[in-house]
Amino acid sequence: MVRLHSSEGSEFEVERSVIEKSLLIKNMLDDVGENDAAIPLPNVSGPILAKVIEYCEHHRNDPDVDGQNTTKPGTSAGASSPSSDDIDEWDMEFCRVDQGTLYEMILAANYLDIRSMLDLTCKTVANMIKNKSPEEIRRTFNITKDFTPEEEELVRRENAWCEDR
Amino acid sequence: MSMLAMGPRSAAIVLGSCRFPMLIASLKHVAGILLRASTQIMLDYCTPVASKQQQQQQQQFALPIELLESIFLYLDDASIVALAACARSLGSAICQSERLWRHLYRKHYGHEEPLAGMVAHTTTTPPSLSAFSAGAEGEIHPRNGTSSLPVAQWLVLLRLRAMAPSIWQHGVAQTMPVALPRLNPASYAATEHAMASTSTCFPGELKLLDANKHGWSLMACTEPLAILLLHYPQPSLASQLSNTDVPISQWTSAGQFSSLSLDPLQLSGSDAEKALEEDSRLWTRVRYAPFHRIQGRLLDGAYAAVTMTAADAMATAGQWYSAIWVWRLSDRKLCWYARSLHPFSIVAMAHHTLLYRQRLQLAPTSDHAPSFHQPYNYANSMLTDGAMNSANEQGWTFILCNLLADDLDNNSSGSNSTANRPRDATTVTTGTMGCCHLHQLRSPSKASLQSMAGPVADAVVYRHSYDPVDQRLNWQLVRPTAMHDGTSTMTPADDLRRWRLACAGSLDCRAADHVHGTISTQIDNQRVVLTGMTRDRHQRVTPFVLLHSLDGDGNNSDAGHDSGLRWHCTGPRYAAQAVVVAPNLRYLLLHSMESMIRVVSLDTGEVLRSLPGLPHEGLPQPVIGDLWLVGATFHGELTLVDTERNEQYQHQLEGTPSPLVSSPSSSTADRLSGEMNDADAAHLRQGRLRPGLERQRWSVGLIGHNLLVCVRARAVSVIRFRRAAPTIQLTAPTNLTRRKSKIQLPSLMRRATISTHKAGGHDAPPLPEQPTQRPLQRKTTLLRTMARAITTFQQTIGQYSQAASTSANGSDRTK
Repeated sequence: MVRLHSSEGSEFEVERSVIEKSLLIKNMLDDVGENDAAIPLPNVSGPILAKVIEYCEHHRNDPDVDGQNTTKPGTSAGASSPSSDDIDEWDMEFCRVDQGTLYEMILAANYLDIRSMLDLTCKTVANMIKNKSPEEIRRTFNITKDFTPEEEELVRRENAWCEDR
Repeated sequence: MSMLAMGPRSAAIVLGSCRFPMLIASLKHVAGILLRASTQIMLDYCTPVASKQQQQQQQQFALPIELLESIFLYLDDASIVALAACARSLGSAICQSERLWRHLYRKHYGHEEPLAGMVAHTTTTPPSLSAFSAGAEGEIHPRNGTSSLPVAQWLVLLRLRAMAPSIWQHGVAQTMPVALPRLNPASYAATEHAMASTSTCFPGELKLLDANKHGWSLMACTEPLAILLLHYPQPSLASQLSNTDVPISQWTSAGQFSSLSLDPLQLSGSDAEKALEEDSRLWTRVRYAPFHRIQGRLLDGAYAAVTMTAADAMATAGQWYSAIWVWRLSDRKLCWYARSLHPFSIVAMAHHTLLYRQRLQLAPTSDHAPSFHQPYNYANSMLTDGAMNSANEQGWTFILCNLLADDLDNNSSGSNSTANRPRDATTVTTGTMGCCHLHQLRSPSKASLQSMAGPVADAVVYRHSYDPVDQRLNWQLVRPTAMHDGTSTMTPADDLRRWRLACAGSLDCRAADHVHGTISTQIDNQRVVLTGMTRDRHQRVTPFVLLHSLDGDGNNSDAGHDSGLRWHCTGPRYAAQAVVVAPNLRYLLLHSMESMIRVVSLDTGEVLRSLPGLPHEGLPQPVIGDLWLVGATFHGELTLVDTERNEQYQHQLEGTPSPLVSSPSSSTADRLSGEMNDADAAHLRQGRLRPGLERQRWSVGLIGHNLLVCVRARAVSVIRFRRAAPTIQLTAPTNLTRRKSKIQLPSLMRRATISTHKAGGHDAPPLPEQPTQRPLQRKTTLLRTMARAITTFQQTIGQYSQAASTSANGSDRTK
């Protein structure tokens, strides 16, 4: 078992084979070797670490998918982006959290170097952006519009021809 | 203290210690809380954005740019553009991330190397944007090899590219009819057709002559002869055309359209020009016949040039005349007019210069002495049009006309209207085996980057001719001194050195007895493509295409070597009646006689792809990126090709094929909207037209990024392509597959994959339309589902409560 310390000091115990989905921790364990000392994770809060562990436990038997989304060379202009539609039901449910938590999950996945979780959370955010107008995106993500009226008019005119639906 | 606030364990303890009626009360309490929560969710949907924002200040879109990049990987370009337009901070964060732009570019192209290609695509965009892009290109290709990519304009470029598939391939078309200006029947009153000529109905047809992406389109009404210029103002581009503002008071407004009649009589200049006025009156009497020819060309938004060749212009039956008019659009002034027995043909316009040509009969003794004694007629007009017939001993005279200096007012004295030649014109006569091209020169900084994006700084003429004795193709700068007196600032020595151009050179072309039908096309400041046919002594004809450089460093003006030759390819696939250079300067489009479009690499000359074009259509027009507008079929199917993906897209412009016109004389506007009979419809379905029916032509031109002007018989319309609204399709989960939520666009374009390698790669059947569900519908459905769940929950609680109270009563009784 591996003991993990979240940023607030909460302690979590998790099987090594589970948490080795995180390349950061795997490398750390490989370097240091197995011992009783808890691994401090100052950038991850307890609730988020709980989510990370939940994810790793569910996907413990998944094969590594490193590089699955690398762009194929020679793809032409306008080639479609990697698909964000292939999210299974459990993952979709897993990401059904408020936006703040989702961003923290992205940051944690990035920090812990869990590629598949980073992909999943980014896909979830991408799905929230896709096919939305700027106004809808602002509303969804609560983005404050900081354009001056002149800038806004310019942006509106420049985008008018392509946003027109 | 609410149970929900206690946490699950505490709540369980409370519940566990409760007596049974207390449990019922607790459950009712929970139900109440859930109901209030659901109501709050419903209210949230209806809450105005502002107040919602005030409530949720803690939730901001605050991901670091490095992580935004990960998200962009899954976003289409349109969504990135939309995201950048959300807020200035977000937009600038996106624009300033070099890593991000490298990533996006790599995602699209698979490599980073030809970044200039992306920039060069903007040569089809407004001049200011192109100029800026050229500036951006300088940053991409610094001398030391390290590049600094991102500038805000990358976003503009991305937007331009990103929208192409969603608009042109999957978009929907909205047609906006245009009210034509009232034509001038007074000039037409003397003819027998006056009765038919009213403001709404005229016997002639409309023909689209030219259009450009600045919103301008030039068209001709064939009877009575009138030239119409339509301008669709696009707010974002209007400011860039400041030098071509036409006073609004002079225009006839029709909806969003401004239209300007360039009727020759109205624009004939002062009353003193009686001869010209008489000419104009004569031209308005022309009754258009199918074999009359009208050509037109727009130079940005500055000039419009039109030529017409007709048999009955001068009331001398059977005698053909040709005329050329050039209007300056800023003041609607006719700045050049000429009439001749020899037909005019516009070659190019650039930098206040017009290069046109006339065919003439060469005297047998001299190769370069023009002879106007042989009038042009329909019989000999059929012999050649683009290709030369050496047996007929005809040649071309190319005339460079200075549009600034050759104002009619300045040049009226002593001029006669039938041979009104420009004062400073450069006239070049080629033999039977030659041609000329207007070589447009861009500023040196951009020229060094081989960009065609910048504005034209100068223009000169190069002549190409074949010498059958030496069997060499010679090229030569024509009379730079004369041009120096005109519009060009070029002097023979200094400026040629500045532009790194050679005065002359030659290319080996052995085994050719004749070279004819040559077309020269400029690629950039240095490179020129020459196409044509060689004929050997056994009369075998071989098409050829060659790319050569006019670079002064690589050519010797004393001729004799081929250092300027880049490649030379021959074969039947290189037969071309017109050549277009792709805006990214990577390939050529050869438009062959059999309507095939062949994509030829500019690097090697290899034919990369062959795509079907449309018969009777002109040159393909670059839309954006590798998407080209080919034209419209007889049945109104807009046709586009993607030269990169090797695909063709078709879009029915008005839903169903329109009725055909039986004859020009009997056709009216009512006739156009009439019903088709069964026989016509059957023929149409079979892709054929019933014999005896005149085919109804559609012609389309690009007047904006997503705008087309469409001319059909007597109707003009603007067609705006827009992105289709996305639809959500949820696929039912199965045991074997994961549940996926697919976002699909309704495919309104019929897409056909063209395979050059295997036969039968024709049209795929149209995709079935997917059921659409709007976002509002989705929200409503969600709310209904929630309300249903709450009701069910309440009912369950109610039943449970009833059962519990019954049970409690029973236990009390037992006690």
